[in-house]
Amino acid sequence: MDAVISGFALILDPFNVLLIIIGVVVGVLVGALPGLSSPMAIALLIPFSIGLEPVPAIAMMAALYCAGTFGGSITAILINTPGAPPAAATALDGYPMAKRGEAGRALGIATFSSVTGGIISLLIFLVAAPLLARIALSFTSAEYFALAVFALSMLASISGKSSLRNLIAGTIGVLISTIGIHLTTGVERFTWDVHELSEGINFVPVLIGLFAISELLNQSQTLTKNLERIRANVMRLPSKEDLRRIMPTVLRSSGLGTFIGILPAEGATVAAIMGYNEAKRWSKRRDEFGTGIPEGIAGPEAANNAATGGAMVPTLALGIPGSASTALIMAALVMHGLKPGPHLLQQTPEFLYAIFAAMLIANLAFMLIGFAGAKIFSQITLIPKTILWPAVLVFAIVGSFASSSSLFDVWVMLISGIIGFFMLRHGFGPAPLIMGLILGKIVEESFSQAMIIHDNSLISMLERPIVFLFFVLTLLSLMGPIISAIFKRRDAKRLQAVELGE
Amino acid sequence: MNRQQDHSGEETKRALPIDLGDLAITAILLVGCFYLYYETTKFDEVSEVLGQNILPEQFPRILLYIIGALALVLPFEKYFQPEPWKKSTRGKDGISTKTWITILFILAVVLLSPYLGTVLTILTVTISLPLLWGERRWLLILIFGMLFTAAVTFLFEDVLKVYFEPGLFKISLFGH
Repeated sequence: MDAVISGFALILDPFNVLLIIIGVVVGVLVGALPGLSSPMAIALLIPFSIGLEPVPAIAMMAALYCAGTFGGSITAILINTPGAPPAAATALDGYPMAKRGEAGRALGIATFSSVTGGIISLLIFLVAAPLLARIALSFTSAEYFALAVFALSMLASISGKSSLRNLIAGTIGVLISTIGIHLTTGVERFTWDVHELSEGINFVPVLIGLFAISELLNQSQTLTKNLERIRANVMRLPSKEDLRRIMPTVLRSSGLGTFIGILPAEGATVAAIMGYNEAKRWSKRRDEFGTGIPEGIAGPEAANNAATGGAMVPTLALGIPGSASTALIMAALVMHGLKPGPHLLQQTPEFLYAIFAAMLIANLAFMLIGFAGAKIFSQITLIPKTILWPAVLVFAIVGSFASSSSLFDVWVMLISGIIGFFMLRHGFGPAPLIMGLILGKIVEESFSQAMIIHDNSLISMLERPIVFLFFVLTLLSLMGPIISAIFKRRDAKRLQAVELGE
Repeated sequence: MNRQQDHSGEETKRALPIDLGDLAITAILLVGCFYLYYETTKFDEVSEVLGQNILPEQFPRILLYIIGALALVLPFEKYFQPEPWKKSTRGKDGISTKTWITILFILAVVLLSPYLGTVLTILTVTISLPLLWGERRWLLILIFGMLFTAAVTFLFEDVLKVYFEPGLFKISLFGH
């Protein structure tokens, strides 16, 4: 109980509440602006947090993460352009409803569903994180190695992307993490006599480059694209009839979103797609989906925001990020000298409650800000790209420099960004690479320790039940896309045969 | 027959068992892997006591094997990917001139930033980049450039206490 009070007391400090509100406003703005995303904003925010205490710094980022996920729905509904990938499914019904002249209703349903999903997932986070951390305390290096490998393998099953490319990007991320002095032997690896590389690659400029610069270069290709904007003067709370219709969907999607969020690597985008699909599958009005029905907005919105709370569970309890955004939050924790994982929660349980309180405040704040500022946020997209993106570039350069007062880091940021841009063009997203980079140290350290303990024998490691379980899950995760392809091809052939009248 | 003639290029492309674009990526990845593997052979040798642990080159080599193996599968991806990776129009079209200009501009700015100093670097970015991108609302650009530069410099120098090099021109807005 003391930990709960301490955690809430940490957050309820007026300065910290102000930081959370700033995080929410920035999150909603960033989420609403197409091209800008929560991971990018968190990456750009990390250098700002240098002077802050760890708890308020992480609280601000967690608030931004929640609000950014919601913010994407505003532009998804009003201009049919999701401000962030998790809001893509929201546009399917949100935009048609807005086009019918019910933009306020659509935004109200999205806000209510997001807040409900977020709060439900936070309650689950509060229960699940300490439980998971308690289990993880018994983990040896072998279990950690198996868990980290499983987390990397999950990159294969991120839907809508190339499994193979995700795995390659993830492994390249792990490889980048090996740059620098090898901890157990002191041997320099891949440093090419550049002394700045001896301590390894600084996460922050790589994150900024991959998320901000590569997207800036993408945006420079579409500077003249005009968007059709629908006016929304006021956001309306859902009516009783709407609430009755959407509540089962919201509850179902909240559970689903939290579960998907807990899975390593699977973030809000996957949750939103599944939330939409499940809402459709359970609905009696399946045929009306895509025409602007409330369930089509509630399903993805509840799921994507629920995934934010879910993703914090493995991040804080195991030190394994649940999504790209939480990978960045984890990098920020490391930068502040904290090591996420069961020991952190055991030694400083108030930290968990502080993050819970911060995310709770963020959820309530973005509801208020959303309802009060719908008109303003609907105008955000009027900011010309030609002004917005140079500002992002300034933050990227200055932020990279500020993280260690070194011009070398600015070059790292720039090179990461340019490489990230070319990778993006060929289907290699930044998120898997970041996951690999963050998990890299855990994978290598736990692998080295486990191999020493188990006399360099993987078979001996597999005799441990949890290790075996994680390796089976890894195999399933890697085989998933292949099995799915076989079934889809078979179904397609059958359909073709039916069409040909065979 | 006509259809075949009209779309012969497309038909040929469809008939190919592998994706040629992905084959190029495979080649790049493999060259990278070979080079980095060669680099691992140049790592310092460790003492006999430490040599009983996992050697510094072992883990990177495992990763290089994995990347190499995955890269070899890449051109055949269509055979086991349920929904083929949707290549965006960006991927198909060339890179626009504006993007190349932007890349060169950023490189030049970072290269010159130690000489320009923070204030001039920010001003250069906020004023020159919109102009390069075709923005012609001069007043808007100037007001934005000056206000934004002042705000960012104040935030980092005064609030976050980050030291910025004043550059050759020794320009500093807040007297540090």
